Amino acid sequence: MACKCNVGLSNTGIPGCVPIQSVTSSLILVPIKANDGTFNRIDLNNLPTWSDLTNEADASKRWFPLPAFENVEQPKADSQFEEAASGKKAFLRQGKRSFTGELWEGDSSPQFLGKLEEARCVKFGIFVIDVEGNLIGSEKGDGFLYPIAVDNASWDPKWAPSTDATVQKIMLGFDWDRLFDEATLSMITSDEAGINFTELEGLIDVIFTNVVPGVLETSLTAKFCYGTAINKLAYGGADQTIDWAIVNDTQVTAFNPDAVLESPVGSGNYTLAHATQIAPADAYTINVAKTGFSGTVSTVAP
Amino acid sequence: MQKDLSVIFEEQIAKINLILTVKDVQGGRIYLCETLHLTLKKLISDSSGNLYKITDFLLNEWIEVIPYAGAPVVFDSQTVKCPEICFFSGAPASINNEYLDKEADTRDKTPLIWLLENYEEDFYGRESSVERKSRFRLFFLDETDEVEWTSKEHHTNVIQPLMNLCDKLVEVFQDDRTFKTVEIFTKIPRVRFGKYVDSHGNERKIIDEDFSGIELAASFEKFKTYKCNILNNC
Repeated sequence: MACKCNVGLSNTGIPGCVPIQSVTSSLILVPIKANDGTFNRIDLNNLPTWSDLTNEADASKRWFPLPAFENVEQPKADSQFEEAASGKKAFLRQGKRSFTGELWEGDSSPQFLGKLEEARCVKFGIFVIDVEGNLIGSEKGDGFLYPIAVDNASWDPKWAPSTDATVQKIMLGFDWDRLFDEATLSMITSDEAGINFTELEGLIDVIFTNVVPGVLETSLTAKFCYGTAINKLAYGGADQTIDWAIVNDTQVTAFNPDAVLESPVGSGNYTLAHATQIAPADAYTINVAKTGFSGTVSTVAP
Repeated sequence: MQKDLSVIFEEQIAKINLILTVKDVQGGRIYLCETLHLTLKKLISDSSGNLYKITDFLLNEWIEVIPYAGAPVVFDSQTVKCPEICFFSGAPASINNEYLDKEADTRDKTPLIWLLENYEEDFYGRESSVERKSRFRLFFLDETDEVEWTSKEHHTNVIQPLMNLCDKLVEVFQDDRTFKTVEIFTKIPRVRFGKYVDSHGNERKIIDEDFSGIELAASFEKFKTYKCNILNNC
């Protein structure tokens, strides 16, 4: 931080009951800015519905919580000084803070690695979640809590297979933005937020195959990218009409299917009935509307 | 304020999800993804509270039930509620009296988890982010037919289901991020639990029931919590 003119030392009294963050448990990735140019931040005078943020339809405004980390370390490099031959020092800059942590077992699949790798191409920040479920960000005094900016080029998730002594894991490393002022760190406790932030979960991508469009009904198979090469895990149980949203791109109308049948139950094989809303040759898009999942497929009625 | 270890265990045991999702029902057979601690003669309930008695089961595959106390003949529910878990904490000298005082029917107080006292705990000072390291022995116990059952039946009908319960409790600890991940824990099967010969040469039991089960010997580390009531400034 630069020196201010005409200012003496700061007062150093500290009241009791100053909350401090506990051990880091996980992170929430948030784009620094949305596509509409607005900053993604938390209005401290009007707290949001937290689950809305993880389920936000606009990915540029969405929160992306990561699973719990093991062996988290956040070292800080030494500050840089220029030192004259006389021994006089001039402060140049603080060292960068780095993050390293490991995701173990089911949180360390190569498919998840692929999703993490994509973050390198986005200018984003993090909210830190501690083991008590508090959320830590940057408070700049304007009534908002901002994500801590990340040097996205330093984002480096690495996959490590199981060994005789260790489990499969993803090791994640990155640097905080070098200009980040740690004196702005502040938290929202789980009590204040009304939620334990460790319980927030990211959306799961749903992938569609075997799409058979029709005027009266559409059949499709919905699976996740996780599983084996032969058997991907099925997106089962979305058997309510509100679990799906259909947009008729030709007529510019949106609706829920009239009925949903999953057969057999839990297989991810669905038939969505839409008796009147689709005409021959209409282009339409099917979206997953169930909380916690994200997926879309476009097709054309015969 | 630091909690007593028995309170910590009571809270964690209460977090074990006793509601199991039904995959399919065929006649009296209910297919489940996991059977937790369910075993022969246990009473389960459907989502409306109707009771059914387990007559047979295959671990983590299915249970077979018959209606109990006027429940509908056909089990029609998406969920199965397992019997509650009873928790005791105490020394061997006192556990029997506490167990016998609790309720008359064995079925109403099993399965039980017993925290053996005395356990040991190390507490850490200001420099550490860890509040305590606790070393303990837990016994997961359930009723058996000691006269009729072979050792294999003790394993199939009690020890395996209690192994599920033990794993579930470890999972609960691992899901609670205020605890460090438990890396090493020892499980010891206890077939025909708690028999010993007293100083007069008489065979006695720690608890006057025909129990078998699992002993879990482990330790965990709990992180400090820094919460204070910020609105009341204390």
